[in-house]
Amino acid sequence: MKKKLYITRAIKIICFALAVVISTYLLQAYVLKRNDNNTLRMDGFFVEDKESLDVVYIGASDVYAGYSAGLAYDEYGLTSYPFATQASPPQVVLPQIKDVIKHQNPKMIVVEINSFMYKDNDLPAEASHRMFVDNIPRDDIWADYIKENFPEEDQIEYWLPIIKYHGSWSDYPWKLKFLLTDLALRQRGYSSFRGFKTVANEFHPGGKLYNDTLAETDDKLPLGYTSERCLRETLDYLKENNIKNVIFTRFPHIVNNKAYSRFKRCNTAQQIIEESGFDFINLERYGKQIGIDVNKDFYNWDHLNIYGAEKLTRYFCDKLTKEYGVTPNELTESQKAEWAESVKTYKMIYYYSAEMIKRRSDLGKNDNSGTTVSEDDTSVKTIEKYARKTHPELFADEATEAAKAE
Amino acid sequence: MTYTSFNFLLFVLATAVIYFILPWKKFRWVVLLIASGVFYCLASYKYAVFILFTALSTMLIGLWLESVNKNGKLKLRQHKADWDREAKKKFKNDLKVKKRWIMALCLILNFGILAFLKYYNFFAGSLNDILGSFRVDFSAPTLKLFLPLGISFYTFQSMGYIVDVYREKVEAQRNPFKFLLFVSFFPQIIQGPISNYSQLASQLFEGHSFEFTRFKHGCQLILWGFFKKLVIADRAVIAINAVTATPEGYNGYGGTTLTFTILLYSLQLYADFSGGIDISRGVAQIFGIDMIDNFKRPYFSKTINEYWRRWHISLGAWMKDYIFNPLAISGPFLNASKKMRGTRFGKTKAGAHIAKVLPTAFASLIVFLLVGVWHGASYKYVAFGLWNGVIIMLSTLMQPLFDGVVDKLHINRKNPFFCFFQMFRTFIVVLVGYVFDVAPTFEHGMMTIGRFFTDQNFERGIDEINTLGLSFKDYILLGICTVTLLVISIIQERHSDTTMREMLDKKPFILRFVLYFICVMAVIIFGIYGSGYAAADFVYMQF
Repeated sequence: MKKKLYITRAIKIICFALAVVISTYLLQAYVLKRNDNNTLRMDGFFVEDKESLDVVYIGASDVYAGYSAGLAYDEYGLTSYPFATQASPPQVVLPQIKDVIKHQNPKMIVVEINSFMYKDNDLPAEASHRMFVDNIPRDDIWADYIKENFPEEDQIEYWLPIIKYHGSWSDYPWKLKFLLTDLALRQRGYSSFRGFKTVANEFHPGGKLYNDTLAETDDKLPLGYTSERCLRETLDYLKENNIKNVIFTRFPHIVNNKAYSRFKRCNTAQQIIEESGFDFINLERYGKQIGIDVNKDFYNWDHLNIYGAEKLTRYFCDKLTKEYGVTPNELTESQKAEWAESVKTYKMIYYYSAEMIKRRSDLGKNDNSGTTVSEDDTSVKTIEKYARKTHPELFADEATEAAKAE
Repeated sequence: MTYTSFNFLLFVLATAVIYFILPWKKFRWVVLLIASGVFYCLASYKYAVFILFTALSTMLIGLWLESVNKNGKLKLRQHKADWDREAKKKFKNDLKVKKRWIMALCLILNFGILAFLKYYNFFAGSLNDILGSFRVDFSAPTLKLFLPLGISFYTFQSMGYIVDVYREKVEAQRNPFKFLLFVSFFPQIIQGPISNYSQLASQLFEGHSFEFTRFKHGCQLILWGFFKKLVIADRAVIAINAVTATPEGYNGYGGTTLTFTILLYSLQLYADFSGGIDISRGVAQIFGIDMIDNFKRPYFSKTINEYWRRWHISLGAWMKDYIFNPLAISGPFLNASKKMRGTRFGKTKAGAHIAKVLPTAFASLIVFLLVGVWHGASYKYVAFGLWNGVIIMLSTLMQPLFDGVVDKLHINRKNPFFCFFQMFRTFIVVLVGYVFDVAPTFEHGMMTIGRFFTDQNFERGIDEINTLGLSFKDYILLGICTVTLLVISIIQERHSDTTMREMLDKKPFILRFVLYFICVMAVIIFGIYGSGYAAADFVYMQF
């Protein structure tokens, strides 16, 4: 009798503990977590078919705002992805490269070096580390990153992120737009935006600008200690592991006084990179060749808008295919369909952004605000609604399929 | 290691496992002693010497008192035949005086330490103010003093013991380690309850066996304590701290915001203190030890007297046993009463009543002055104590008048509306007392009361409340939690002969499962913990 009682109690306790643990795990994995456009971009990368990408871009917001994978596929047949997070710190670059090699092993890895431009007194805060580390798989790369970059007493919050994020319940229902999109993305198995994010704006900078003179400037400033250490560690890792399919680059920015010192640090980074035997393409020097117009192609000081992204994507894809001989992978039919979806999405983004930019321009607005377009539920619905009204040809296949079904 | 940390739960679990697997039941108290030592040292090892001194001095003086008492009685028996009545009376008096001096030595030593550490700077500052106003060229130095963890609680508990030994209510403890456990038992060291020796000691030293029901009830109490502390108190304190962060900032808030803050404080203080006590009691219950309940739905009190019987019950009981009763029946108080009865006024109906209750009324005033000072070394706490003491004194003295008014108006004392009116009135009186708790200084407290009446502006209040660090959703959550607390309190009040846990035991498993699950998940999701928030100490920890 007693034995039966003990067993019943044990079962009840185990059931209760399991219910709590499973619920907590599900909340931690899907609901009470960092859910933003960085999450969608990172998740989008990890759901890509293994070894299906030709090119992976690594970096910060400059990358996902300045490069469109949808356009690259449409015009060059290249499958690519911006594996980038907002204000990505220097410590992130090496684990990003490791993750890219582990999950994709592409023909080319392009590293945008914004992460190495930080001085020691302006290194990105914990939130920027979180945008990367909270969104990658929990493997040895993740564990090493936690161990190397955070004090031991804080590491528990990375192992059990609910300790950090349980308070995010108050972000709902607003945050549902990311959660729902993320669930759909995981279920679908690919990201239709392919990591792209833009702001519909045409920024008109004022004051003294250096963009026209950058091509001739070789002035240098030292890198921050952490930035240089991380850059050298990255280069050493690439050399030690005989990884040669990596090029480093710097995307274009509007260069004012403040950004000019960053440009000088960039020259130092270029020297270090080239001394290690890797190519460095400083696109800030090639503004004219790319066709960048500082008064039309940026949505703020640091980010290209949809027009700038279009120019840069074409320029870089040209370079990759012609100078580096990167050729497109053979894709399966389903992969082709997925990429066709991304092309369609890119076009929707383009049309919508162009219209929004025009409207703002008509209203005389040229500050650095504007409408954000990213892969969240709200944006997707907005751009689709606009495209259905103004560019019905994008949805012709739907009409054909519907007719077939009838 | 605070009571609401994950480490504390692990610590309790490990202690419980060791306690219950130890094969020698009669030595299980040693596990509790070691755990208490570890807990104290982890929290405050630098000041462990203070608690050791209190434990050792109290135990030794207790033994001394007992031996003086026993020897005296033995001597009295030996001289039963050869001493006349006068000699016996004189010997008894001498013995009593000697015992009193011994007890006083212990009280002075230990309360002296407490008073010095807690009140020295307050008295030095006050002395300097007074001397400064007389232009006397003297300045008492202020010192950097730190309060050892739980000093008020363990000092009061130890001094209660010494008085009980003096009164021969309990036998003196001969084992210093057992006495140290009584003084330092880890679930109660931070904020009580202040237990008396006869109630707690035997339970501590008895080797308890594992009982599933006790374990379950203990865990439920801990969970409920976590909910009150982490979900309610630590959320409410964010807004309260925003208002009270600086005296200058406090000055800038309007009457509506200050009223709201005091209301929020009443919720926070109750949830914080009762939550902490629930955790303490729950932990003790796991080990088979029943500690006294410190709260009995205090906001349902119909009089301020009743409120103090329901709020911080263990402090109230301590004050009653060791201060109020001795004062109320002390010679000077009884003489004053007697003298008044002899006057013309004392022969009137009102005068007779006042003469009768005068000792009680004055004893109450003194007790509450002490309660105020116990809360902290500041004039605002003196005001807090005086406010409560004066209200109690007046209500005692004027009881016949109030009774007369109620009778004249033909009010049924059991009428629910009248009961609600009494509760509401008492709650308002309590809130006025809280003003001095919340306000940075006594002057700010007076200013706050003034603004209650002169500076109510709803729109400005809403604007200010929105800047206190809590979102609208937080306020909604606090509202839901308040209603939950209220409903549970009403159920408890209606079934005061049993506990919620015993009532839950009779409910179907599925219902219990869902309720526990909701409570655990509520703590996990809505609790204030982790690096995003600054962990708030228990309010009573500072006292």
